[in-house]
Amino acid sequence: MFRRADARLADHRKRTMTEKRRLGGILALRETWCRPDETVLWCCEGAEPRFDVPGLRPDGAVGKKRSALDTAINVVDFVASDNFSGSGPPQAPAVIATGPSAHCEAARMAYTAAAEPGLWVLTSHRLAYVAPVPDPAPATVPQSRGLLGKLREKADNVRGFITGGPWYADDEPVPVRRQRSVFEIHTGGFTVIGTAVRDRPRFTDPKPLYEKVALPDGSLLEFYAGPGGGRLFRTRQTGRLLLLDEQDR
Amino acid sequence: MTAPRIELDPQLAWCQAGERLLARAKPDGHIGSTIGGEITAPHRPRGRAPEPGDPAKPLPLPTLVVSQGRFHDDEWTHDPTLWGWAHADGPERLAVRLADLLTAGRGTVTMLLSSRRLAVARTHQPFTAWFEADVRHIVAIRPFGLLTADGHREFLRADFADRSALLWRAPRARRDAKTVRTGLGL
Repeated sequence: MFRRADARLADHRKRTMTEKRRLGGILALRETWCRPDETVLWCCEGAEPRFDVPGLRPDGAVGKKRSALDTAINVVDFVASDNFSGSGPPQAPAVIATGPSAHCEAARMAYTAAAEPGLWVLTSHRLAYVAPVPDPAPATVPQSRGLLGKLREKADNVRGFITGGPWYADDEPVPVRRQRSVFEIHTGGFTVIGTAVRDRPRFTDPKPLYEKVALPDGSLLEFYAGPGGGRLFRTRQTGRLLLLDEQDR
Repeated sequence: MTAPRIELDPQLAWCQAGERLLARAKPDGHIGSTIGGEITAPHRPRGRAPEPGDPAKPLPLPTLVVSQGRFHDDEWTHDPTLWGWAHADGPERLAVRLADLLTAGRGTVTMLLSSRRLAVARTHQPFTAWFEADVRHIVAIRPFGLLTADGHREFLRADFADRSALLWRAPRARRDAKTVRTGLGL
């Protein structure tokens, strides 16, 4: 049984390493998803959206909203925990769905997005939630034979572990991960209202900036745009370089 | 078997009395270029460049979307193989000359920026300057950054008097930009 678990873990590691050798983000969108004339304005990860809708808890579970006291206790817990560091990134949620009910469009979209890792993307043509195309069932990985083969395999693993990041084959173009729309709304189906401070000190960042997108039923999707002060480039991938504030940091 | 290289400090080996080294950058990736509207990634040197002693280490090539020029705006900055980019309206511009030399000497040469000169030089023994120009060709230097799928990246952008520009990756772009601007009085 342990042997089977080990084999599964080894298989998972091998697949993870293969996945690391393909680039995600804006260039993957550009190569496999965007139309030629489509400009990517920004994209951000959609993990763990927050729900500000009646009947749902902030994490999306069905039930009463937490009281202010619960929230305060959670914040104190978080600050006291090892996860908190004063200079670390703000812990405001990346996406907030706000609306009159759990069935509003914003909540439904955030729920769908929460089900699989992907990117929220705003382009000149659409707002979309995009996820990597799942890999076909992994082919049986040929077992390395002989001492040399095993050593080579170990060296590959060590190299992947030490570099910690993606590494790609020399003299070959960097491959990208193919992307697909989980859902998308075309311009006309939503309105970008703009960026404003979300003046609710519920997060460790007391004055987070959010970009609001209104949907036809009046519900809102809000995307974290940073704490301001020249640090906006930390929160979302963009296709344009942003001028950095030399006083920042 | 090759003898170990001895790296020299450009402040001591290259700068003259009263001259201060402000920034240095050694390419560890490809350079791309947009010259007269033509995109090339990796950049192909247009002019003559000295032969580097050692061949450059092989690298992965840029993504197809970048090498085929199908990207928008600054999306090339998301490509992990690219270290810099030159923009110019013609091949005789300063940014292209720098890109030529930095491409030809990748792994060997370093771009140096002092209070008097801009250079591309081999900084190991024997110290050899491949190219030098008056630093007053630089009219602006600014730090830029963005978030990519692999984390944050920062770049310095130098704009030259001939309206060409060179961008390169600089992990401490803010600090470098401030040092250079202060040193050059820009």
